Amino acid sequence: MEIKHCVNHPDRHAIGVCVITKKPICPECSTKYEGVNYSREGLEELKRRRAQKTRSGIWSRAANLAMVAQAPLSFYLLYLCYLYTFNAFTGLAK
Amino acid sequence: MAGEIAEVTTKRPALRPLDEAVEYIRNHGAAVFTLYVAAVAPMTAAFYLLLDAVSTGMYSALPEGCLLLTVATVWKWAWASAIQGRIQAALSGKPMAPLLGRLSYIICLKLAASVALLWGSLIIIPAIYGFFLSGMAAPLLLDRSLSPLAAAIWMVKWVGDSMTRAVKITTAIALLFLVAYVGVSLLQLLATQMIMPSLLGIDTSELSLILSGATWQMAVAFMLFLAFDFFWTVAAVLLYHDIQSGRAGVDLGLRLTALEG
Repeated sequence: MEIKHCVNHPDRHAIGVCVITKKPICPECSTKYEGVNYSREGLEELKRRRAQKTRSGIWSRAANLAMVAQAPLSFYLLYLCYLYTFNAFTGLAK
Repeated sequence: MAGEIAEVTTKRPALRPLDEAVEYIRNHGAAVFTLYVAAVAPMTAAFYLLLDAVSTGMYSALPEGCLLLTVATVWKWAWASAIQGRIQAALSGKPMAPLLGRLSYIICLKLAASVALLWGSLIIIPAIYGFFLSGMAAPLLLDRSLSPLAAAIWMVKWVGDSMTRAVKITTAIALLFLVAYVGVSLLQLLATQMIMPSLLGIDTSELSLILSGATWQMAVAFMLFLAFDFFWTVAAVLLYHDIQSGRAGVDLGLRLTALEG
């Protein structure tokens, strides 16, 4: 079996691979987070991805809220449309 | 998203889903028609109450009547979504997606679409967007776990990318409605002016007066609207699946044939 060396320290054996960057890392370069090995770059990337996800989640929720919030106004506009149509129709029916 | 929309642009004849809808109604119409009757019963009652208020000169009842009609319209959308969900499940061969969880979003989207359809009809183009968004809201939101806004954007992009097809479909339905309306009017005229007085010897002067009135014509137009709305409820699902089958490489025609079998 091929022994991999740390990407940052070529003289040291790697203990694992960063789940994000897929690069071999030694114990010094490895940070265990939620039971998974990350390199420093991997952790930065994870942080960036999670921040992005939170931002898009907030936007998505805001968009859904906006869509639900417009419903009463649309309901009223639909009602007005019916009312105007029947008011106009009363002129025709007379 | 843009790539996805480009993918779904189909090469099938633009009006094919309308033909398939006619076939679907011919073969399975009875099953969905009962649900449709339940969907439109309150709307029909509200509409005829309003017509009655107009014809008897009770104009003060119009605001309440219109509110009732608006509520009945939302009721119709809820049931129409159930009908579309059933058709969609039959077409895709999968169990029907849970409607209740998505119903509020579907109603919200249909409300926005109806505003574009009714108020936008003055300048035509928004009405086309509203027409397709309203028709395909349920199939779209039941098929994918999209947010209502994402679904609206998807639909707006699809109509924008396939405007020629959208205009063809809208024009075909509008022309069919016009032809049906003229046909019914001519039939009435034929019955009251020729068949009944000449062949049956019935005095139709009073009947002719009623039939030529605005109230009766509005009632006829509403009945025709219901017939076309039923057709569009079915056709919108078939159109949505036609768009999807272009993307997924699934032949909708074969699926329909399998359903017939």
